[in-house]
Amino acid sequence: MDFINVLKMEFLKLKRSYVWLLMCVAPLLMVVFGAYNFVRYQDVFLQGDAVPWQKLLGQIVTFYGLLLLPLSIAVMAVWLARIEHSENNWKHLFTLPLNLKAIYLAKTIIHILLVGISMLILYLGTIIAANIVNVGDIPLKAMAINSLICWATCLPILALQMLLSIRFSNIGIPVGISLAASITSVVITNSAYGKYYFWSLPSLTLMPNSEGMRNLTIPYSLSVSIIAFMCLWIIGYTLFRRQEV
Amino acid sequence: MITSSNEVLISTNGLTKQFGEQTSVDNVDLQINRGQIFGFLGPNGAGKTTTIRMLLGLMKPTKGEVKLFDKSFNNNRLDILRKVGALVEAPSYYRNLTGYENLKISSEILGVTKQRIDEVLEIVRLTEVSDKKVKQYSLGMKQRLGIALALLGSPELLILDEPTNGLDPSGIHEIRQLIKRMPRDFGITVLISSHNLAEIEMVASHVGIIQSGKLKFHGTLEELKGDNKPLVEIKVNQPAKAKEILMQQQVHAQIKGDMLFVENFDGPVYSINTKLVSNGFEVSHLVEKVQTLEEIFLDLTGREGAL
Ligand SMILES: Nc1ncnc2c1ncn2[C@@H]1O[C@H](COP(=O)(O)OP(=O)(O)OP(=O)(O)O)[C@@H](O)[C@H]1O
Ligand SMILES: [Mg+2]
Repeated sequence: MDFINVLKMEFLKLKRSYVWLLMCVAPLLMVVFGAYNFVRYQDVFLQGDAVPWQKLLGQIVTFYGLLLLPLSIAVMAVWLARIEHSENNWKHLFTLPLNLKAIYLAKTIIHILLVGISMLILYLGTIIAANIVNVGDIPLKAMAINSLICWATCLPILALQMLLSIRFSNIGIPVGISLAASITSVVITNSAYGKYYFWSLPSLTLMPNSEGMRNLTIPYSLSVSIIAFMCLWIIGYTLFRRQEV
Repeated sequence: MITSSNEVLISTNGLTKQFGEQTSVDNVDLQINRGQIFGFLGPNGAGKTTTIRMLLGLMKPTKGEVKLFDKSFNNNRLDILRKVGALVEAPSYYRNLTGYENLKISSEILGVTKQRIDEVLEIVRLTEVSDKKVKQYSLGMKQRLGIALALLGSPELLILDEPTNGLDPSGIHEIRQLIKRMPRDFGITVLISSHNLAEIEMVASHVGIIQSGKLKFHGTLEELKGDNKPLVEIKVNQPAKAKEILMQQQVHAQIKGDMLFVENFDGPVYSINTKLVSNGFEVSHLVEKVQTLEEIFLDLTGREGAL
């Protein structure tokens, strides 16, 4: 039994389920909505020495980073766990000759990839929108780096949501916690404590440089996110391994 | 016709599981040898599924130990599971996928060929609907898929928890025939649980009867029947006096209505008749009743729990 087979098995399970489309639709929606808003209130946004592309980006990523992204991460985790909670599937899965670590890892990898797709679509969508509404040259490279860092800052949220979704078959618990945490981040992100709150990090990293990142350095956000992710993953896996099914 | 070998595939020692205050499995010692079809029988809530979950390492025992193929789960989980196929409680499936795709998913792990998938589909007669989504399957079809999944890896040991749940009579018959063939044709040892005595009687070579978590009987089907002593029913003119006379012979009778009953009588029945008649009683009715297997089962498990 190789890990690649487990990964293949996990991918096969996604066939003909379209919940993952949410990860494509959510960023697209925000791109369209943000661009529309930008065009509509252009006069207001572009007063003084405002930079047009930064204003456009702000319109696209604010709501996405604060609410839609963390919520779609939660929904994906619920869905990846749900297919096993229903129809007695954990029992069968646990009687197959495979390492429990491999299942947990495979599910995490799929989850990370889905979030990655979401980031990629947001990035490409923003570029297309910038061209259409004509905001001039945009810093493609800086935006790509920010998107990658944003992806990394999603990891702790993703690991926590996976832990909760597998632990509790009642979807109200992971979804409720995600809602509460995201709504709290609306307040915290704009305060001095934003850099210490995991749900604020994705939106801080996505914000155009003048308003976002602030005192958030790349090494800080990467190391904090990856360490927190690893801790949460290990806790999640330990609970998973001990789960009685 | 019992052709089991001495190789022990499943053994448990003092296996116990408690949920809070409740002891669902209580000090169970099981031994199942290669080649047996072991019927694990008990009424609803007796602890069959809980025991099976512990056998498969899905749940940790509160006390006691489990060995499969003479190995414990701690260090040999994968080695054990490679040789076991199981259906626990209800069939497992992904509803958006077809029957074939469901088998394909497990085949990735079991490393079996496409040909084997077709083979097990054929065995449980799902070939025709293998391209239909499982959410469109009937209960019986899902159950068959569950059995196919258990068979997929060509296991040495097959553990089936109430496999005939939801099947129609012809389906039950088919599965039963299939299970009977397992040791002979495929060299597979089977543990099948059920609350239905008739079913177990038809397929099993060995039986374990569990009730309220306790193992009440463990042995061959013949031993279960052999345990069974007759009940003697006597109608006599002076029952109370007759009872006293019989008592002198160490025969313990009970009066119910106008009849005398002797339970678990192991001497020749005519000796009771001779005794009574020679003492001047008028015996108008004397019958030796052998309990049916069903009555033995009900006696072991308690009648109220048998519904
Ligand atoms: N996870 C659990 N938590 C608490 N109690 C449980 C749990 N699982 C089983 N039980 C209890 O253990 C007892 C035995 O249940 P089990 O499922 O093993 O019975 P069973 O013999 O398989 O019955 P059935 O024929 O209905 O399938 C029941 O009283 C049940 O309520
Ligand atoms: Mg059961």
